[in-house]
Amino acid sequence: MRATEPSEKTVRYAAAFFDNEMDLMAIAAEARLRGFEIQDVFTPYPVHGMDRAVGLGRSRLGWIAFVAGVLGLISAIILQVWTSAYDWPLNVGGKPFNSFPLFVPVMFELTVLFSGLISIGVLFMLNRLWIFSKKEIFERVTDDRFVLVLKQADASFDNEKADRLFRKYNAIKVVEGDRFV
Amino acid sequence: MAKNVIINGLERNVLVGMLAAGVIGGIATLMSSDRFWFSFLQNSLFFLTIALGAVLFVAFKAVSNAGWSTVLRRVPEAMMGYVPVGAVGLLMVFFGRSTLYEWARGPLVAHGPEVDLSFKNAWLSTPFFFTRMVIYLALWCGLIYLIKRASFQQDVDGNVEHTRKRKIYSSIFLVVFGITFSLASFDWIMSLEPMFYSTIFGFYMIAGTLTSSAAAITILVILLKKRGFLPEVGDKHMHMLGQIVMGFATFWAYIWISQYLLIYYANLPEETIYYYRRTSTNGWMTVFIVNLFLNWVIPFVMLLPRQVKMNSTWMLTACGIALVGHWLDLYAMIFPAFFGSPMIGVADVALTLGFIGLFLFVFVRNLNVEKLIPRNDPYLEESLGREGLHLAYSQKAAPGAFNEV
Repeated sequence: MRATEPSEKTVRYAAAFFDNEMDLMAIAAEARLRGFEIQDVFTPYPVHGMDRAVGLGRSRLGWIAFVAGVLGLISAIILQVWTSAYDWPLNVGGKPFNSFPLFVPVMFELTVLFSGLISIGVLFMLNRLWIFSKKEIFERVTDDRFVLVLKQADASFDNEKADRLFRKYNAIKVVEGDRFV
Repeated sequence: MAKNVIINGLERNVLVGMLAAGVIGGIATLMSSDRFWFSFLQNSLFFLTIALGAVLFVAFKAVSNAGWSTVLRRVPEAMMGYVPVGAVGLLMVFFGRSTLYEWARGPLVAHGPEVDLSFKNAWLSTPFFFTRMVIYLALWCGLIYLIKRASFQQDVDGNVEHTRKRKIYSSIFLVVFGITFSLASFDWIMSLEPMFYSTIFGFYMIAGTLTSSAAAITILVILLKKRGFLPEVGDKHMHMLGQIVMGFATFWAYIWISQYLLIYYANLPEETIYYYRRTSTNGWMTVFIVNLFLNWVIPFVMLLPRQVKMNSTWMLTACGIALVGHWLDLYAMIFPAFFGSPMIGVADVALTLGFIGLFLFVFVRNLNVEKLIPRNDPYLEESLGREGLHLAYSQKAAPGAFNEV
């Protein structure tokens, strides 16, 4: 659920902690209405509808998975037809060299494999979670805390207004910082 | 029974008319044509499997503690009401047994000297066959009664205990159904060609059942929504239903290729004869290919994008195609062994119409508008979500009245 642009790697932020997803979802929607810019939200588990509350557009990952799947399907067909009918034809149980039904399981497997692996890889890349990348995370955010991070980009950020909003949705605590990576 | 305003008088007359057309056409063709019993078996199985799939739908959700579908649960529960009716209908096959089943005309005779048919002849004897049929159908009807009773009693007293009971009955149903439906498919369909056998056949039928009933539930939910019922069913639920139809269609294709591939690999004459009959003439080959497209290729491609699952026209089309696919699937299982080429006769049209009328009539009778939402189900809140819950409250008098009868 990263909404950052590559150029905005560091930004001043105010992070509010909540103890349930409903508060987080509601405050995310209201904060956007009131003109705050949401940097990111963090939840211990996927929350349905959160993408809409935060105002994210449609994920492109579906298309990537689709294209990867088609790629896997085509590679499976080429691989099998080429190896078993052209490059090294073997007589297996008297079947024709190019027997389509026998290719179906591998076609299925490679479609799923390509689609799965490439989507996972692209997902990590888009989220900038490389192998050796280091991320600091908020306290207890993988356990039972739900965090909303607001951008404090410039002086237009109204601290009092933000405070009132946080209190309205029962924020447990608010942390401010000047480097959100 | 509370008054039913789901369909108006005209539509009710149309349903009764379809039913009458089915009965008249059925009686007319019973006298004149061989097709009657085959078509009767096909159509009664088609609607029986759709109704049984609705039970599976409810049972899966109960066993897996799934909350999302609670708001639309009364639709599959109303479809379950067809099972006893369809069971009685299927028992009528008793009168057509000698037309349908080779083994009912006398003991099967082995074509080779080394084949021992004594067990097959004992298993496929008329009294044992119909005793089994009655036992299977009675088991299903009994468990369905228990599942439904728990659900409706919760509406009255709001006791959470009913959810646990429903879960237990559903678990029992799933185990019982898995075994008995497999055996029933062997009996009712596979024994039409008594020398052919395929151990995955029952599973293949279950896959078709799951797909078609999910498609039927989706269609009925959309139609009810179009009439202003179930306004609480939102995009989220339609998305889930679309995923289920698409997933089970793919599961069907998986089982289809599993059956085809093993028979193709092994190349044993007593197994390949099944596919030989279905692919050796142009007519049946067409049915064979079209069947694959209707059941998997078209629904799969149509339902692949996310947005279309929330588009009611698109969903109606895809689910309608899947339903026609299941009908054709049963057609391709039952008819090729007895008819040289595929054709649709008067019997097929009349019986299909009649069964559609009967199914919808029973469905509408079972759907109680006053209790269209399981009000006291503990999963209701999860199913409705924030906006949906608000909608449900505003429709009723006040939040406090929600727990009353």
